[in-house]
Amino acid sequence: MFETAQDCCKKEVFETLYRTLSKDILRFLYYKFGADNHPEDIVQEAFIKLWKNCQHVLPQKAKAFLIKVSSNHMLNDIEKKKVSLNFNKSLTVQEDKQDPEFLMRESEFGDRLKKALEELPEHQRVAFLMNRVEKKKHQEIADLLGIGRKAVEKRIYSAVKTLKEKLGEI
Amino acid sequence: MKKEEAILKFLNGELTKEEISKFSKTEDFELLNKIDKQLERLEIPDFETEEKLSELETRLDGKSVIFPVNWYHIAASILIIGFSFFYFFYHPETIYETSSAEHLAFYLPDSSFVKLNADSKISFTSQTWEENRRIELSGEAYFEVRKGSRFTVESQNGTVSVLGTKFNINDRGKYYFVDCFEGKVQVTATSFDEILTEFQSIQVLDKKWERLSHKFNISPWVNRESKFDNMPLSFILEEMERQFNIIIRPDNIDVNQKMTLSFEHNDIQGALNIVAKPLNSTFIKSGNNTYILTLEK
Repeated sequence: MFETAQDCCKKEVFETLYRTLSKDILRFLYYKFGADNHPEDIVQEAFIKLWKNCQHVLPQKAKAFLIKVSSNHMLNDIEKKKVSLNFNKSLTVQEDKQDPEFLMRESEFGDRLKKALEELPEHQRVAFLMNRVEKKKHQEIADLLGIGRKAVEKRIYSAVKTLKEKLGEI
Repeated sequence: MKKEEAILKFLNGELTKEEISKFSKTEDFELLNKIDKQLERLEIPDFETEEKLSELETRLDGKSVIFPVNWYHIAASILIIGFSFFYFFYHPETIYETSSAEHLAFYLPDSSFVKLNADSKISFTSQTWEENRRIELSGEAYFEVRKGSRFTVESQNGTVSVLGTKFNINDRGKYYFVDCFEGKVQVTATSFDEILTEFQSIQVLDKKWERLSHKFNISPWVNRESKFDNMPLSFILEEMERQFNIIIRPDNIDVNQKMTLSFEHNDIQGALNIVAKPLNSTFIKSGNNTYILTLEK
């Protein structure tokens, strides 16, 4: 009768959850809110909430719980900064393609992509980047976000459509 | 295949070889490829999982301190090193304690459940818990033990050992009661060594021990009710003192007479009446928390 959902309260279980989920949550928050809104801090806050609610959250539900509380984190935050994604300056291109004009065009395209991604609606950006950066399957993203696969595909396709409009004429 | 379907299948890695060679001739493919290439430059914020985890654990322990000056960093490192030695070579005891009118429920490191009755104390060593599930108890506690290695509860009058079961121990010095609600428990004391199964109890009163049976699935006090079956009045009064945080002084009443009754922990007046009535006596309030039990004139 007392032997129910207290497993998240066990230190080993909590630590394992942290080790397996913290980076996923961090990436999710980065795609969603950008680098300037301190995604690392929101990860910590989310795990603190998990610890405080450990008696009510089964370990297999922890991921959904973390995604939910960390998404809500910025809802009322007036301090919220503009979404900004960081791109590494150095381009990795093959040696034989290093003519100046090509490099310039590539870097210009990079700037436009960065801007277009930052302007996408949050949920489209999250789904699209999870798919393209981490190569997550649509179903995995659906499980992580707690939504249906169709909804994920709709978000990704909408993102692709918008990016095409903004970057189309290359 | 529709354009949308092709794009999504491509993004999900579901296109066949032929479909890919067809799709690779489209503008969409070219654009997506370019985007993918650029996205290799996307930087994820730094996150050292282990570092962040220990930072979090410090915060959860409520010991987080921010050191603004470098000098403190050195002091902090020395402290941390000192504490790690302390941590590895010294295993401090974890103590749970209740005072009168207080119950406390908690889990042990193996998630065994304990509820501590009023005016009781439990101590154990959590670092070595997995190898050595040993508890020291004074007072009364109810246990629901997870299956595992041998689980031992030592108190003044005896030792109870089990492998996973539900039981209650009440050791108040003069009395020692063990009730088993599920599984098996072994009770060892100087004068006996007995095994109890469900619905069985052992009672040590005035240095005499006897085996009894009961009909409970859980200790009544866990649900905030004290039940007594043919128990000395002195014992009942002591339990009332503990549950209601009061002092009772019996006056010209035989406290060794035995009574059968029960009272609820949220109703002090009811409890006083239940005890006083059959004795033709009354409780007179004297001072803040003191009651005198005296025969009715």
